[in-house]
Amino acid sequence: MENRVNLTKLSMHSVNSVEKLEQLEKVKVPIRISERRCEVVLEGIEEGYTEIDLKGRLTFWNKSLRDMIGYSDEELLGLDFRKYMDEDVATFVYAAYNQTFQTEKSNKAISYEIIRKDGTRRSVENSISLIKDSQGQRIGFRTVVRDITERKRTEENLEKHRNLMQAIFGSVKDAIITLDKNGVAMEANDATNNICGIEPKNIIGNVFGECLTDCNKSCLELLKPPFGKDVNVEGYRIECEHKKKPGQVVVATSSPLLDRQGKFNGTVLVIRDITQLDNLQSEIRERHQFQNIIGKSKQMKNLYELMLKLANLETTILITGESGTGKSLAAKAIHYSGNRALKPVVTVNCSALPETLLESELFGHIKGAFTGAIKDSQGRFEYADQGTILLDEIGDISPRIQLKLLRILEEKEFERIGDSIPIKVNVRIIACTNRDLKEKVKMGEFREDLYYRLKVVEVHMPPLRERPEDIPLLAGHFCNLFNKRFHKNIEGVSDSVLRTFMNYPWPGNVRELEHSLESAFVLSQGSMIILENIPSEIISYSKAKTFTHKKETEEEPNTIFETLNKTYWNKAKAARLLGMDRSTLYRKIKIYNISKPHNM
Amino acid sequence: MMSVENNNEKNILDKDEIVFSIGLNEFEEKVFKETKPVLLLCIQNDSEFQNQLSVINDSYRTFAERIRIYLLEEDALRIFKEKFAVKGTPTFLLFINGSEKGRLLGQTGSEELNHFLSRMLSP
Repeated sequence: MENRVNLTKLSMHSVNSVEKLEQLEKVKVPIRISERRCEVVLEGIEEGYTEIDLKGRLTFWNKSLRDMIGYSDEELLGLDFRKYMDEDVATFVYAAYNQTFQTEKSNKAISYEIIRKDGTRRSVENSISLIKDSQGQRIGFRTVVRDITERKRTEENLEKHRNLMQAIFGSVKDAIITLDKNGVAMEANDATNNICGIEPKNIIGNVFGECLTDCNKSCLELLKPPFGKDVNVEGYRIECEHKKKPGQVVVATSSPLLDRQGKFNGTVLVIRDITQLDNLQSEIRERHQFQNIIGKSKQMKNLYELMLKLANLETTILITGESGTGKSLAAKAIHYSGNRALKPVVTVNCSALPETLLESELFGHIKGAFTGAIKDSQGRFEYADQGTILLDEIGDISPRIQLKLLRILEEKEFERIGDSIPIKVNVRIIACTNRDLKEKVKMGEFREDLYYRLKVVEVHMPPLRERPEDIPLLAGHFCNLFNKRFHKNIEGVSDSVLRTFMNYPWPGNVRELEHSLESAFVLSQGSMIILENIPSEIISYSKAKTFTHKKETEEEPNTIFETLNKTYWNKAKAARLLGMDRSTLYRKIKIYNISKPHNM
Repeated sequence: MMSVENNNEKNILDKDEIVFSIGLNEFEEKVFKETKPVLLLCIQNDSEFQNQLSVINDSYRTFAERIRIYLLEEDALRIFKEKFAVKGTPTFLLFINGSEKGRLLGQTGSEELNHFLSRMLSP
């Protein structure tokens, strides 16, 4: 029985063992699958994995770790981790392991440098955790190692680049402001303070437009769509009207910032201070011209001062001067420099129309006023209301029109032809003439009261021959003008042409000079205007003057000798006959070594 | 003869009279009342002036009869800037039937100007 019981027990035990074995087998399979899976993962990952015992020796590693350090499997087994790093690095890493051991907490992202078997260095990042046995005893460390060499290199380059950019950013004299797509400033350099008067720290993080309080904010135009977003803006000249920097002129540029997909990300605004340059250019221009009138001679400078004074005065002006001296230009310059600049400026050439037509042009007419007056017509005075009317060749108007003009000057009103209703106008009159109006008044051809009414202030345009020093400047100006007009690249006039110009009397004044140069431009084949290109009458005058002068010089001794003989060497009489001072005669007698013949 | 303003128009580019300079008093007639689109150039007479006019010349070849081009006289620039809120130069304004349809800021190249005009003139 006992045996039977034993057998039964044995059988049962056997059955239990078999069951256990079967169960064990059943569990083993998934464990094997799981182990295999782990192997695949460990061998496949890029990161290095290693297990180190408490003495610091490698007990397990994956392929990536082996490749990272460059040792073979045989060399790695039992290798102390401190072998593949510098001593000071080893101390640092040891401390990390020690901390993990002591605290039992993982130590993540420890960066250091390892030395591969071939001596090359790599930067790595380490994560350390404890390995415990089934009793919870600390038996070693688990380490995941990431090669961060490339990342570190990129970061260093980026840092270097950034430092370089900061240095450049900080040192340029132009204000550079980068804005995000909402107009909030992301960066601004020190020059922003110099130009905009705002410190970078007060701009960054704020909407740029709201930071500008002391200027006219004109640069914000460059941020309005499509500018600054789709379209680059370059070389935009702005007068800032900055309260603390009066007269500041800048040139602004804006460029959109795009991401890699080409999407709008913000704007870069660059502002350059050109105040000094602009002032210099203005100064040069002002010295040499007023509006479109050019000249640097003393007479012209005095003229500019006078015109400037007259610009904002409501007084009637009479501009006199020879034909071609720029009377119309002067009249317009006065208009455009003054308060009426935005208002109409109407020019009427009073000599170009017969009296009846001129009267209608000036004052208008009503329907039926005369044959051909099929409808009401506004006159030039009405058109020029609030503005300026330029009456060119005022000396040629008829007495009838003179009377009407006088009424406008005195009462500020007139009637259209055929009408009796007075029309009030507020018109500034500037009259121009190349006639001698005073002479005309004496001759009874021009009303004296009108003359004095017009001549409240007289502006006289000097003829070109009285200011020859302006000829080079004018020639230069016309050369620039005609280069643009004719698409040429002529550098200027030759010295001989300039000399010829300086000696020519210019009866047609500036207009004649302009037309001569225009003609020369058409004819010129080279890079300079030469004598051959100049109108013949100018050359002929120059030649004749040279010849006369030369002839006079050569014959003068004989002339003096003969005259002295005629007057029996009475030098006073001879001097009178020769049209010179007695002292001049004495001097010339000495120069030419003229002596009295013995028989006189 | 009546106002010589019209007859004194300065031909800027070449003898085909592409661009005329106008003063403020001609604005109404030449811009507001013009039936064709008008490109008005507000350019300071500085070192870039010639360059910009060359660009205009190139663009004109593309747009030929479709537009008029006027250069605002420098004397009038200061006043025009106040009146039309032009904050800087160069500024190129396009007017169609007397209304401003668009503007281009800063120094421009041919491609940019052509693109602007194409966009503005397309129906």
